[in-house]
Amino acid sequence: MTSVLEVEQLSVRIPTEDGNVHAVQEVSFSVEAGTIFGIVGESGSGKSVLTQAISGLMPFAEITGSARFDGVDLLTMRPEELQSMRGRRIGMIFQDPLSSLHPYYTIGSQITELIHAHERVSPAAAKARTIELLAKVGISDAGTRFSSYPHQFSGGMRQRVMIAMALALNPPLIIADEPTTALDVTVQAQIIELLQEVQQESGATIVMITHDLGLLSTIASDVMVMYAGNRMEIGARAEIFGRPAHPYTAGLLLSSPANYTPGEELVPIPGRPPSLLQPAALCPFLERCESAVDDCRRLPPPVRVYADGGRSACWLEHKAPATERRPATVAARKISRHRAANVLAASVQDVRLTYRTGPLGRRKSVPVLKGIDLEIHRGETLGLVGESGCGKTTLARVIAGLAPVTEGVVTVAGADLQYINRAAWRRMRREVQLVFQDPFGSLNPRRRVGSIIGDPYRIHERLSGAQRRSRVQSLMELVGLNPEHYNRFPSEFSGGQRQRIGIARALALQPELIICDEPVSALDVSIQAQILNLLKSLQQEFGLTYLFISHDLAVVRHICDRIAVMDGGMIIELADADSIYDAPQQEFTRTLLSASMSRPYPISGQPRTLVESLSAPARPDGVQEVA
Amino acid sequence: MIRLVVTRLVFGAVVLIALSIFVFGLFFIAPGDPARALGGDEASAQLLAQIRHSLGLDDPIYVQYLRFIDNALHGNLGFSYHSQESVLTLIGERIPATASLVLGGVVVWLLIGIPVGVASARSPGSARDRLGQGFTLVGLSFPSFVLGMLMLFVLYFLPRQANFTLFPAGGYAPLSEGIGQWARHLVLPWFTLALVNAAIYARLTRGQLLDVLGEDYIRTARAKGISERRVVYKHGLRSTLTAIITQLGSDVAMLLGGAIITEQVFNLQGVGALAITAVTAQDRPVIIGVVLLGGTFVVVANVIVDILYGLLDPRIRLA
Amino acid sequence: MSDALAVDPAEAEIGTRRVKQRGSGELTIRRLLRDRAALGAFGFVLLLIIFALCAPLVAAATGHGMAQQFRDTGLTSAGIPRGPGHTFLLGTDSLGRDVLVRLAYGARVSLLVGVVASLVAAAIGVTIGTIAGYFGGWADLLLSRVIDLVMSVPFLLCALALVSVRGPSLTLSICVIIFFSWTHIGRVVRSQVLSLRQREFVEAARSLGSGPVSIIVRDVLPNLTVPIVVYTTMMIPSSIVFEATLSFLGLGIVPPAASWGGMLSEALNGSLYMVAWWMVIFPGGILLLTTLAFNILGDGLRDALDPKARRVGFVRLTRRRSSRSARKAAA
Repeated sequence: MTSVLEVEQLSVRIPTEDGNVHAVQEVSFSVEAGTIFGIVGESGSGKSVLTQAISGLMPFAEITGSARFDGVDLLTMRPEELQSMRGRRIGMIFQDPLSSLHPYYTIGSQITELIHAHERVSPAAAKARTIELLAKVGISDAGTRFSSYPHQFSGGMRQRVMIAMALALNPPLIIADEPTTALDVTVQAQIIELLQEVQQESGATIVMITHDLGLLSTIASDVMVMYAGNRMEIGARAEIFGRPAHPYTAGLLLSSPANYTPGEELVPIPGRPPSLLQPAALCPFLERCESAVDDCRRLPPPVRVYADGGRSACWLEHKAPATERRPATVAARKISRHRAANVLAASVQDVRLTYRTGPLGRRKSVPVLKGIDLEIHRGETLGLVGESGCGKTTLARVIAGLAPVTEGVVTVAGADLQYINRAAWRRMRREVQLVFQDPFGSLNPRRRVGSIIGDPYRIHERLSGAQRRSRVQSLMELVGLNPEHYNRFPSEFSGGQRQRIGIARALALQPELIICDEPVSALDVSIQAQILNLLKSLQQEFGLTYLFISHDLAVVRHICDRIAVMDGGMIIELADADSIYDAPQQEFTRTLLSASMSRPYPISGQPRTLVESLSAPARPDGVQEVA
Repeated sequence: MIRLVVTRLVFGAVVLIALSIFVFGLFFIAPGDPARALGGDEASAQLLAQIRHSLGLDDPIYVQYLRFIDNALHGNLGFSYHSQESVLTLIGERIPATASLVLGGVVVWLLIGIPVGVASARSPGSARDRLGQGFTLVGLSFPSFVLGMLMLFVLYFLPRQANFTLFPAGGYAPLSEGIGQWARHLVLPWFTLALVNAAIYARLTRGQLLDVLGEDYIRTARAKGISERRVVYKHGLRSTLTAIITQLGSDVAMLLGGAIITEQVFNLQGVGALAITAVTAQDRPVIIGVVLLGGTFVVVANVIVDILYGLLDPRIRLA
Repeated sequence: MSDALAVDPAEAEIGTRRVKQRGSGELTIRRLLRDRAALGAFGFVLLLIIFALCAPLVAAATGHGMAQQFRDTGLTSAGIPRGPGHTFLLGTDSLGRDVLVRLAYGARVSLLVGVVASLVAAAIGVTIGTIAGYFGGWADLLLSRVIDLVMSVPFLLCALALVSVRGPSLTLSICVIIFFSWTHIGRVVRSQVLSLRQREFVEAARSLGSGPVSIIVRDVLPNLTVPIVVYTTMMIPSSIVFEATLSFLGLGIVPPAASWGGMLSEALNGSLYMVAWWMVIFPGGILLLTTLAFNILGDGLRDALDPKARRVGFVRLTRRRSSRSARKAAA
């Protein structure tokens, strides 16, 4: 085995107005030829910065270290040399296929441009090659599609075009930066399959960057785990997933709902990632680590080298201790038996919603909801699952009374939404509350947290001053926020904390129904579990009713009693959570399931054999921070 | 695409109708009496009535308006109260000067504005960028008539004192006098008209191009290994151009204002100068004619811009 | 710098959060103080205000009235204005009036028109833009068309027509300027409100039962303070130039009242400025410096209030950035 890419001690600093962001700190790894190498990390881990720095796409960053590709150091190359490597020797695929293609040029011309940039070929030959490529990545009728524009393709098709572009000159190395993140789960699966096929056929090496550990468990041969710009652990797939050495790796595995089995509790990683403005002198994970020992607080972690070739930057010698799952505590167990009373919190009967769009005279009717029947029982969690555009969010807005229906009856807490007047509508607001997806968008950045959470009291109970403040503070305590942060602005909180603020706001008036619209999909895995557990324990404590909307079956399974699967504006399957998983009735449900659930990797209890410990040299620029 | 153009045309017609009602209504409620102005202070009531009748001023306002529109549609914008000449002829005589000024001005401002903006955006924060931004700021702040007078002073008066004629003091030389003479008379007016707008366009180009250069598809272009020059000019500027063209559409109205001022400073006998004379002389048909023609010009320019915009953006063209 | 960050804002952002916890007001002032050009511009504007307020004092100190003609001392025997000297610090104009005194009175006109017209136009623009953007539907269709209409009118021509009918006056100048200036900020506010309205926090307020007025006042407008402040500041210089232009064309301030544009017009009259350069340099210079100062101040304010938008000077035409970053975050 030879390595295609060998990165040594790579550091990347990005100058910003607030100071240097130490995006990548002394990361080393090597990629074997003809394999898929996975880099996994949450947002802020530096995984994208790392690869873009290597390929010369970050001209303003300060980069040190070396990155040998084909025996030449990419970092010492002149920009023009690097430019000739890109596209020809290194192909790249990016996250968002919607914005990664130029909207004004045909996809064909965008690919031939790459061919012409590196080879002297006739336009006709380039075109023929491009059409061949497009056909190869699964674009039917490639000859005509050659002259189509990106907006005429779906997201998955555009990602195929990106892959065709990356493959055009058969580069030995392909860097795929979150290639499936922006796509629907079923499309994700197809793209991963295509990438694997392409890799096997061309023998290229793929560096795959992702935040989704589960994605790598089936395709990567080696995996590097990054955190806050540092390499935490690197090793073969079997070791990383089976017997992780670093507590962070173990934590990621345990908190991922994709690995969830019923009757167990997700184990969140507490806290949040550190600032990158100062390079960490000690282990960057220290503050969140439950296995931290005294040495962790004194010295930077040594690199443990194991017999299997894996390396981990940690004081622990053999493996992470917390690799066993905890059985669910009573508090967090599902509470379906609570809904024995069978009281309806909300019900939806034959609801239809049709939008009318298009120019006057040629109006088209676009049906969004095509006859939905749904009952939500008090005290249960009903999951609503479907891909983008299936109408699940619209249905949520209908139930919340924020969107009018074209036909049908929506009843919440016994009142028919259609026949209530303005005053009653206002009163209804006490009964249904929403928790939104985007923790950055759902809080007004110009208002203080206290006033955001206190809004429901201001509007509905006309509480003011000290009374409101004490109510808000007890809510903050309830959702795990420091009540002293009452006067802060949302920008001073992290994503997970903001989501807690959103939950506190929804909780304030003790509504009959809380609609959670993708409440964790914008969060990192380690934070997701915190929020999911919070939702569960609140439900246990107050007997709340949730309508939980998600595209992610794994998340839904963890929290829901019953699950409704939506497709094309209709509910195609509705059953208990376990039956959906064990015996899906519909073809679509099966596809969705197989695409979104990665099989949990068997965790082995075997400790790993330590062969060597390389103590890290004290970092000159950070040591003074040791407390 | 066709729908877009049709919508635009309809809107343009609405603009013109609104504009004609505006000018017409304006003069109807006007305190001045053109009959008195024509007949003089000594005129008898009978004479005044006669004048009014011959000008059609004694008809109800809507009759006057409809008659005016009817005539306008037949190419007759009425006659000047003063010279008794056809308004259309009067304006027609002045159009070559104004058209030369405006078209040349647009060319100059785009030729200055876009390159300065591109140069700035290619290396934000550099000395070149600061220079470009400085130019932008000063250009934005220069009232065009101050600039025009300064240029006349420095490039005409001072050289002439040194017995050396660089540019003429002003006036318009028709193309028939030779393209050299024509251009020499127009260079200073062109720059006067263009500088403020060049600054606006430099700023617009810089901002838009910087935005575009941060887009994901630019990263894709770089990842393809094409030259930076090509990334900027083929991929970046292409998207920026649509923004510039949109802006151009909404600046046509401003352009006419600039033309009036420039004509005033350089004593160019164009349509703007005609308008100023007409205002001082209370020559209503001429004012109405100029305003309506100006409006038509803006509307037509806007439709052209919309078509260009559609042609540049496949998402609109194929919609 | 911006380029490097544009690569993956989410990744770079995390780190910045914990370290600094200064209030946004304090940060703004710190940034402004660091911006020497903006400070200088601010100083100039302050001096100008003092100059304008003290116009009667200037007149008293020199002993020359604003419209007082000194045909004996102020003009040469050939009737040519006198250059800067002892009696007339900045020279005299064609009628033998003191240029310095007239400049001071002209500053009053310029500042008054600039500030009043900008504030009123901003108020109109913000109101109309907010209504159109927030309520959408027919209100938006109608108001947007009105904005388009006003924008596609050749405004100087219309101003000409209007003035020719009503006769020039200060009030009319201000009205004309307002009528043709509110559209720009109106359009900006409309597009911003349109995108804010789709943000989840507005939806959240709605689902809590807040009424439209409450949402506009509490949730929408506070998020627009930056563009409103910046655009209003930027409108001041263009209003000043607009007034000067009207006066220059003889359609603004009625002589013998002093205005910078009118002074320049007198200088152009009969090419007098060729022999009396001070008639152009002083009013032209102060006009240029004033607009420059306000423009620099506006730029500085924008940079200080919203450092991330440093590179954006104009309306973004088609922006779907917020939705895209939301999708990215969702992914």
